[in-house]
Amino acid sequence: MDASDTDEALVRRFQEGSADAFEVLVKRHGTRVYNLCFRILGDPEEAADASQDAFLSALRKLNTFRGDAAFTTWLHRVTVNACYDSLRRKRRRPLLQIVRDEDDERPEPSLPSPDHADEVVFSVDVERALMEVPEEFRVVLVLADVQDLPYDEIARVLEIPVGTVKSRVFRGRAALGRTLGAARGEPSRASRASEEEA
Amino acid sequence: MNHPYEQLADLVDGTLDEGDLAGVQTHLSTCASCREDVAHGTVGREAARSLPQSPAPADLHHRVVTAAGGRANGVPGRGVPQWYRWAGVAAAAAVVVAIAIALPNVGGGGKQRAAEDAAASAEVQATEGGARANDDVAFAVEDKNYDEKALQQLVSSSADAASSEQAPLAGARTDPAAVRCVERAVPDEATGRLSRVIQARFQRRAAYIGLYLESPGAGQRPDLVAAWVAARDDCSFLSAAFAKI
Repeated sequence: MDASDTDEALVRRFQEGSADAFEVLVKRHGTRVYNLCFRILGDPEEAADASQDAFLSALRKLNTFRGDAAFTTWLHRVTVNACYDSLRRKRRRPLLQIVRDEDDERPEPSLPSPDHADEVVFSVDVERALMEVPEEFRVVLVLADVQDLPYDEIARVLEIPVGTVKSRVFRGRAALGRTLGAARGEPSRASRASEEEA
Repeated sequence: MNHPYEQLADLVDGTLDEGDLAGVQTHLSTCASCREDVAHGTVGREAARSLPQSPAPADLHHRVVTAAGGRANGVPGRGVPQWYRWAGVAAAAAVVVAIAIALPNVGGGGKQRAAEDAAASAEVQATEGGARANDDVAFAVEDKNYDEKALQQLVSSSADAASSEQAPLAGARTDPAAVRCVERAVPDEATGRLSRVIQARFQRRAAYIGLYLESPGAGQRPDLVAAWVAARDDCSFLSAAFAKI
């Protein structure tokens, strides 16, 4: 097995019966899949679970992959579906369970070094604010601005028109910027309007 | 008022066509909401792009391999990746079927013979008592053409129903021929209990969709819904989808 093989060549080898080919694909795309899950779900444990689900789903469905789309497009689609599945299960969890989870003792995060403190604080702010962005906008925002996929590629991943992708990206970015502004004490649109009226 | 979100995305990206610029500027001059969204959107874009990449957990690869093995063995945590084997086998079978369909005249009508073989095999299974046959399987006919997306929605909604312990879809009781056809398409190594078969179309081909409830181990509650799609003419594997309960 040559690690320099293209994704498509590895898929063909897997379809011909080589299990090792799939392992190369997992190693090659693990970080990308995990990051997509982490930024959509916002929790490292849930992201690891969703990444595992995504790869298992890919494994089970790889025999249906016909190369109509690039392998990465297909894998992004499978991963987004795993994330939606995780979000759906989360919504279904009883309130009591969520309260218990929040009561769990979590390890204190290690303190950042002074040089990077501002950067890290900002990053944590953005991570929290991202979770306030509605799901349908957040998924597109993460694909565009975190995974750096072109809009037409996102359209193929989500099977929606490019215009819808752009619209959701814009609204997701606006929601993220608004939440960050509110967190830093900027007046909201409503409060500013009432101040202007006064 | 309609807001030109598509063009505003281009504006924030700095890729707005000159031809659209005047129209967007006119809109912004009269729409305070969009002006504010553009300001926030610019901040949001930079913020999202500033997020660092997090490395995947070191054990992700190991977890995938272990989970794949555990599922196939029916024992959580067993390390042998049996899924690989049957997934590869199913893939190879699908390729063979695709070639048979693409070359119907090679070898004296392979497709027809495959259908005859499937029927003959089903007869054998029926006379042998159908070791995997399940009398408890609900059967329904739908006038619907499924694609990959619709199939995924079907398993997700089935997982929701399973989690709330709703009764399975109402329908006529077991159609033994449909059950046997689905079971022919499912790899032998796959685990689970067939609970429902839907007769419909998949990507415009007459198909049976079998919904399985899979458990992590014997005696444990199901934690996964799997949909396996079989072609009605030759019982070949067409597709599959999965959703956690």
